[in-house]
Amino acid sequence: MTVAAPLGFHLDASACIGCRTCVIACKSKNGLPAGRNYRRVVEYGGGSWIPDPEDPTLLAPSGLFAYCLSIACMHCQDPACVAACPTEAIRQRPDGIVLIDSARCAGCRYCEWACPYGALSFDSSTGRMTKCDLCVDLVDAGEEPWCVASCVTRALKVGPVDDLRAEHGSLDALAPLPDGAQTRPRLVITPHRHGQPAGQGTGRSSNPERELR
Amino acid sequence: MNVFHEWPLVLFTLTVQLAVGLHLALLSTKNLLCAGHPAEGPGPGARDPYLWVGVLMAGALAVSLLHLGAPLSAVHSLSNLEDSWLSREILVLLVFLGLWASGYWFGRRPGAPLWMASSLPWVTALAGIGLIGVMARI
Repeated sequence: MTVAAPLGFHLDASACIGCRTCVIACKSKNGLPAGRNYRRVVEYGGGSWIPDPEDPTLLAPSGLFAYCLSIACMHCQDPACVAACPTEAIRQRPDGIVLIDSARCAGCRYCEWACPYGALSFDSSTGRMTKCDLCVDLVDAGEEPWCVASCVTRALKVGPVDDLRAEHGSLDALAPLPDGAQTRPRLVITPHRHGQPAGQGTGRSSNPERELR
Repeated sequence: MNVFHEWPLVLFTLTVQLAVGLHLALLSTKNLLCAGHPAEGPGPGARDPYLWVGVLMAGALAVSLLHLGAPLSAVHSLSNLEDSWLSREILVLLVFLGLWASGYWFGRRPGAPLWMASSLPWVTALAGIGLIGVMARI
């Protein structure tokens, strides 16, 4: 893996089954307590049940759909957290990895407000912000982040984002994620067959409070 | 999320804007309503309403620290003036407070240059208006 090229995630939403193995692997790697996750899985679905035209006493599905999106810090090209941070505690490496310098963080939580993906979390034990660091220690050693290595369906990949876009296209958002134009996330999505465009979704997130603020 | 976490921020915002508004009100009252009257400083033991501007600002700054998880790291708060509106807010706030303190000091110091005593409150008012504008951008 070339460290100098900006890195990004590829999420194959057609393969993600929402098992949350990536979430648990991330929690284990970073020693996160209950209630605080760097990686989360958004469940999104819609449609309804209508009386079956052939037998109105039964219900038939009408446009039912559901898919899962495993998301973490997108290590954006224009990271809102970096711009918001007054202490310059959040910086971006040349390879695109956004890192928090804990010693400089004042815990004002403005980055948490600024990030449209809810990727930053407050560590109340230290009074400072924390987030996904793309397992920078492993990446620097040429290994994969734990979320990627643990994915049972190989729905997650990490690599030079230009290579990922060349291979999988440039889609960087599906409902209920925000439009990628805001921060230009280094995320490449292979859409689920029922994937809906960001901002135009007809469904709802079944776990918005927990997964996407 | 702890709902009480945001209260220091609410108090800070309201108090700073109250202080700026008080400064503007006192300045306009003094110059518009009292125009033509002999200038009179506060008498012995009299309460000086201008002092409240500084008291409110100092109180707001103290309360704002309660919003921080690591208040000691606030010393780095002016590091990101290039991008962060919060950094800019803190800078303009300190400028406003410094101008107010200078104006307060020179306005009550015998022998201070008259131009300084009369112009500093207006410059402070401009900084206050700028501060409100910067706060609105956050």
